[in-house]
Amino acid sequence: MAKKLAGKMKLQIPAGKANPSPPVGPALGQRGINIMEFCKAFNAKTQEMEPGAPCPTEITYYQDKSFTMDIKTPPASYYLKKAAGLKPVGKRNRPRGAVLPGRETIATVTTKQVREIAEAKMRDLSATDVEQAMKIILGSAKSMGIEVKG
Amino acid sequence: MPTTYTAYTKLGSQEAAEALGEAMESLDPEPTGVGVFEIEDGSGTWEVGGYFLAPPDDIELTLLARAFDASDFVVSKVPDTDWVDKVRRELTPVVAGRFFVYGSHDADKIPDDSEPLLIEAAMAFGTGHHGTTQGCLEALDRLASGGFEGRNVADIGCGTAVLAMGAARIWPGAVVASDIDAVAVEVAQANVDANGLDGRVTCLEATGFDHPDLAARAPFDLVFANILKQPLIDLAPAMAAHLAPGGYAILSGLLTRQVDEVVEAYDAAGIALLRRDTIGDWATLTLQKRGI
Repeated sequence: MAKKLAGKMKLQIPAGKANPSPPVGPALGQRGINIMEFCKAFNAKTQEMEPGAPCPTEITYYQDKSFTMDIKTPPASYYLKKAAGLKPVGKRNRPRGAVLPGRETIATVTTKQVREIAEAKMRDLSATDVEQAMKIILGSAKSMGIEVKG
Repeated sequence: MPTTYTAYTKLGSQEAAEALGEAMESLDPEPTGVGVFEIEDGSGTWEVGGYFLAPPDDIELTLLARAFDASDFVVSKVPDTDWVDKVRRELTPVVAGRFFVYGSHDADKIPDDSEPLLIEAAMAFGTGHHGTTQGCLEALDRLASGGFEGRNVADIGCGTAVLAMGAARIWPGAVVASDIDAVAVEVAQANVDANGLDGRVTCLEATGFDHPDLAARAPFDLVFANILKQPLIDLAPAMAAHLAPGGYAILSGLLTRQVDEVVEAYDAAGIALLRRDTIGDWATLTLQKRGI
């Protein structure tokens, strides 16, 4: 069937927990996209993931209100903060990184944890192997003030 | 519901809009979602919007708008709306000839004298809410009203399988629905089941007619292809090979200005134009293979 593109949007949605509250409800609702069908499909696709992990999701929607979604793995910062045991703070209940990254070390993670994160994010990274992916994760860790030891 | 905010701006190209959308993701407070939308007025204008749980920073937004040569952001509180209900009210049933295409939320509105097709607006094209799908259903209705009975029908690029199911609703013969997209085939099968047409419509994944089941079932006496101009043109020789002499093709997915090119390709393949219909900017063609 011909797919006539109408627009694209990128939303960060918790795995397995899409519901009609913001941003999903207004973002899709203002474009006339079937919110409940979207939530059903998103939750089914993310049911194997850790519940609540934030998934950047690109939604492409078409002129007849049908849609497709490309669900990415959670950001490296999410995995790193979790591995480092940083406590969630603030209104959004998320762990905070360093205020002065590069000059301040707020936590540490192990090389093994970096490898696990690299493996989890492999499909979304522009890396040909896990070692290369680990370098990308190490860069993220450094920029957040998280040191890698062991 | 907690108060949430949106910040919207407009600019002149898709490329710039996508770049601005990416840049918005690093705002502080960060948006929970960023959308890049084409404004459907033919002006080529794009809209970029962010959704925020806290009021966005006006200065950051102004700087961002300047950097991307966009109009100033308009920040507003998101109205406290029942979005699910709003969408359901907008996704109204579509009437095309004898067919009534509806979502499950409108199951109580099916007219007695219609052929109902249950289609949820979800992950495959062909919800009925587009001129191409409507045009094809109306063309099918016209053929049937004229006394034609499709005994062996194919829907190439079926999406939701709405056209295949329409044919299966009104005729007892076999219908095969294929799509290049595996997700669409899954959706098509789910729709076939939901409409009680399991066993009547066979869904399969194929590029054009390139599938042994399609080859085995040919020649068809009716083939739908609601795809796009170039794939339609590319499909012309295969269409001729798979249509029975005197068989019909219902084609759509092409803009009115693209009609001549498609008609020419099909005429060269031995399939002549019988009728052309237009809904909005979209054309639907009914053609017949020569050599009855």
